[in-house]
Amino acid sequence: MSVQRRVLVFGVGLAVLGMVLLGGAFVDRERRMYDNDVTDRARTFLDVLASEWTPILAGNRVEELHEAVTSLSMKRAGDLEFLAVVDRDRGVVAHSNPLLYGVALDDLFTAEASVSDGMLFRRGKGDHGPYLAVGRPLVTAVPGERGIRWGTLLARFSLEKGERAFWELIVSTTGLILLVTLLVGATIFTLLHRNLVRPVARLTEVAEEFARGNLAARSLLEGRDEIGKLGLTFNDMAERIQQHSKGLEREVNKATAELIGANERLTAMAQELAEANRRLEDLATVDGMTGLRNYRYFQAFLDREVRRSLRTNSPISVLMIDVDHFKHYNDTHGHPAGDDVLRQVSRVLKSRLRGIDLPCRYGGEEFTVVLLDTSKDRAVAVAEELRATIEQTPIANEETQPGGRLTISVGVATSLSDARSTEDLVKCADEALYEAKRTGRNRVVSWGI
Amino acid sequence: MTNSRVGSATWVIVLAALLVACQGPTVPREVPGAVDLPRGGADEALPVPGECHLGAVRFGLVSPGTPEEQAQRFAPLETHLGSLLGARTEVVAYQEYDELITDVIRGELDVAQLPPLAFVLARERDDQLLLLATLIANGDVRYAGYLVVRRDSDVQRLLDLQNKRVAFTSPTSASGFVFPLARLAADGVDVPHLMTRARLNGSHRQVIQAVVDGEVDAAATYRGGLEAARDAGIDTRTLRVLGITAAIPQEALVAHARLPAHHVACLRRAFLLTNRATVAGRQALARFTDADGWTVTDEHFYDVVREQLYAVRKAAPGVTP
Repeated sequence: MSVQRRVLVFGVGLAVLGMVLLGGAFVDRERRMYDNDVTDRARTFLDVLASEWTPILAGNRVEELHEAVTSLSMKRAGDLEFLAVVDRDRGVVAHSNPLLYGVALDDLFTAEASVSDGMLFRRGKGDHGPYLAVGRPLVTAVPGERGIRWGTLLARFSLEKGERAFWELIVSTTGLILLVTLLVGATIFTLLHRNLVRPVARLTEVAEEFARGNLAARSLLEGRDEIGKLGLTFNDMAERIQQHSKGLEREVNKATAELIGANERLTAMAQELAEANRRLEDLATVDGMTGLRNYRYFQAFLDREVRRSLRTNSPISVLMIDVDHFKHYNDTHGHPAGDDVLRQVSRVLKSRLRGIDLPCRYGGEEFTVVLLDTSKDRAVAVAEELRATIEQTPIANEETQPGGRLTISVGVATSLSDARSTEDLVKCADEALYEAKRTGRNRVVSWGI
Repeated sequence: MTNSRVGSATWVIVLAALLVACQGPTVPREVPGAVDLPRGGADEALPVPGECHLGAVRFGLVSPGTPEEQAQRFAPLETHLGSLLGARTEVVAYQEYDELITDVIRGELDVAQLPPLAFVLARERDDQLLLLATLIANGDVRYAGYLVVRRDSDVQRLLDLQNKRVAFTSPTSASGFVFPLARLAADGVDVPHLMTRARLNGSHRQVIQAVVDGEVDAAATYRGGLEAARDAGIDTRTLRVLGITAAIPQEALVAHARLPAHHVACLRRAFLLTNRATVAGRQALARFTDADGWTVTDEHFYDVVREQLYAVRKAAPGVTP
């Protein structure tokens, strides 16, 4: 429920309720005052009559009593419906209606009034509207004693005019109260709206704007009351939040910059590490002298390619190469010259093979080549081309070799047809190389042929 | 509902049940027209009709008039009382209070009706006098004494009577002497000084006549005296009431304690049953216009008489009995 509705419900509602209660209390008070006034007037009237008429009744001066009743009834014909004096047998001694003289009244009120020790009041509604019936004992007694009851004084007063006047007063007063209620309610609502609802609504708008991110939003509320203090407190809080936010922003920017720097350094370090790893990997898998992959790399590569060959049913071939009489050359020209021969053979292998093929230094003067997707025939052709290239390539001091030229022998083996595992494939190639060596060198031998 | 409320409600119900049980059966209210039998004393049960056979009863009171007038006036009352008392009843009229008091004290009378001051004085002489009832006259057990002046008198307040001539009836009269004097004393009048000019005219009619005639400036009387004077042809319209005394108790009905208790109870019951509220009572009092009946009072009802008497005695020693 909004503050405005609460103000409407509680503030104005309470004002209306208060006015209604006030009006109710007023009506009740007026009713009681009217009743008491009517009752008191009737009581006083009958008391006066009783003081005058008790001696007359006690003296049994009936004619005198009759004259008094008749005279008074005529004087007060407006509101006095009837006046009567009855004896203890309820027989009429005097009555506004002379025809009733001597008649025993048998109505309930007369019966009750005749035995009542005190004044009896009854309200009722008759043919002429509301009335008040009063009965008063005519008694001679000292205080505390019953004394002698001579009879009962009865009177009935018309309340029509009085009731009408009373209700006219109530209606006019109720209208006035209603008008006052509306004025008071409107005044209260206006005051509460101006002094409470509107400031709270403004503060709410500022708070919502602040919540949306405008940390510069500030309340314009002022004053020394709670609302003003609330506005000042909000501004103080907003100021603190804004300052704190700025501080946080600075800290975040600073931390972000530091983080970026650290990240850059970390990236550089990672790159360096990757490069080092790569170099390390090269060192681990590359032969330092020839620049070709070493035996370790060859084994891993061949394992992977043999599995793929079996999976794809695509043949790969392995060339096992050995430099002929390399020991002789080494012994004759020294190891550095031998190393140069090995590097020159390596260059020939690199230059004559496809990018997807892998030349490796197998160890010593032995080299291997893995030819991917290459059948045996094609592998033999490639091997022969390599052998021929080496043979034709001028190499320093090769004339000192047997046959006057530096040559190579090559063993060829192919997967699927010759072997189905790495070990078997290498073994087949190696056996073919052996066969090439055994049968005269400078030649290519394919396993199984 | 909590346990404590249940307990409280239970106690209320139990107490209400006990209260109803202690009250016993509901007593029906008095039926209209039934005989209104006044109660007797707290320790005295009134005899029922037919239980009184007193033989002879003498009832004395102060009443002016000739013996024939008295006989005519009181004959119905004698008959009525006689039937209630089972006795031949005689009403004895006295002219003076003193004689009446003496006779009731001496036992010459069974019952006597004493004016208020006479009753107080009689009790001073013999405290064995029993108060049976108080007279109802003019519908009341009290009446007021008046101090009246002529309408054209320059006297505007009681204190103005300080140097005036005031007429009183007699020192044994409540309304004609003691109560007015007490009122004058209370209003600051120098009573001994006043009494140097005062007149004692004997009767109310005479003091009223004296004021009307201008013989005195004021008179002490009462309403009944004014009415009697008016009935006698005195123009009381020329008078105005200057002051009113304290309320004076009506005459007291007394008997002597030496009478048997049953005798006293019968007497009391007979008088309490005699009033104008009943047909028999109206017949009995038809010619005794000074009485409407008798009702129950007690000794303290006459304390005001004693107070007024003592006040006068203090203000003017020797002017009262």
